Amino acid sequence: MAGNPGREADGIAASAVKALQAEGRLPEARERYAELVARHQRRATRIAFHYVRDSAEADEAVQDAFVKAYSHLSTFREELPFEVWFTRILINGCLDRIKARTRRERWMTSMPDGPGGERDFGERTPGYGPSPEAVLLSRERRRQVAEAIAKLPDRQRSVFMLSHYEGCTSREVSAMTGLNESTVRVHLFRAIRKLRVLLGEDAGRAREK
Amino acid sequence: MNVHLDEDVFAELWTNAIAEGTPVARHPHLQACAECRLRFASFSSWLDELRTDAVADFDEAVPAERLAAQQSQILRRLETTERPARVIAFPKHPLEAPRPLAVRRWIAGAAAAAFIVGLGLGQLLNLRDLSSGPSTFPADRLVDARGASPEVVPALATIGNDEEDLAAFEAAAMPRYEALRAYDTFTPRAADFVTSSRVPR
Repeated sequence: MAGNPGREADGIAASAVKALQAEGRLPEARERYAELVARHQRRATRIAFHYVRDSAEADEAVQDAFVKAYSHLSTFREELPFEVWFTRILINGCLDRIKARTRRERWMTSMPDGPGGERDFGERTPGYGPSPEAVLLSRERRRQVAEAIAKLPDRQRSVFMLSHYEGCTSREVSAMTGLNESTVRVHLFRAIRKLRVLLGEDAGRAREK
Repeated sequence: MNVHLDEDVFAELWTNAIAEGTPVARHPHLQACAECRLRFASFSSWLDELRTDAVADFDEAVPAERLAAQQSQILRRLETTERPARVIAFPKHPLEAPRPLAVRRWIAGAAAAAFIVGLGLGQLLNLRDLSSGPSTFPADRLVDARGASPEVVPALATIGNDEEDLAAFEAAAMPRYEALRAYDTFTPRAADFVTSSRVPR
């Protein structure tokens, strides 16, 4: 999570973009907004990816969120950090996408994966990193983690990802998700406990190896 | 102290630490009990692994080049959003300005009057008989087929009646005043137009 200097810079940049938009100096507004995009893009894509679990869809969700935030910057209130305001837009977009996908999957069948179950070319490209066995084990463990997280209820998953992966405080998560701070803590506690049940034994076994 | 901390307490300690953004609080039991300290360290490393895995998963799925492409795509979309929509004119060339309503009414009225007059003249005058030479009109063929078939007899009778009727109409149409007859003589008849149009040039 960015510290206070980063947030101040965000606030200044967002206010500047807003003012430039109001004056009709759009190319300059875009240029200034590009700073915000560069600063938050990676984190935003990570959040979106953890939500939708698909890199292409996460990419689209992030693009949509940045475009939407830019178009509605006039409604941005300076007392709220830009990061929190933007993340809320992003999360809502991701949840809409998940809903739409669930609806699609109910009525349509997707094409099966490739012979090895690969998702894209990048996964089939050989590298010079760890051994194939280690890569396979690591991938398998990550798949289990992803599956376990996907089994969490929506709110628990959101709170866990924002708190644990992104390092947001309960107050920030509360602002991003619209939940009470105490509710955020309860969801976080339950999410950790449930994950421990779902993954605890596997994690213990992996460590023994 | 024989009672050890269970995983719920570990989860609670972690929750508080994460929620407040502070390091994990030092629980008095953890300081005193080596076994719980060890278990808590294991619990903590498990949670850390989850985060490390999540980051590795993301880095593998979304490499830096993809993020760069995404950034340029976002900026392109912003530019497109701001560009005003292009309105395509259809039809491409503007239509002529419509005529005033009064003119259009006059044109429609004149057309209707001409149609009615034409219809009346058509009924009054048998223009076909004024023409010379054989006609290709089907009704004429009926006349030529006189006596050939019993069905044509009523048609011939009708033609005879028409001639009488026309003579009666003509007599009625003749001006009764001597002064107007001169004008009537000069006024061309419909038959004159038909004859002149059929004269070979």
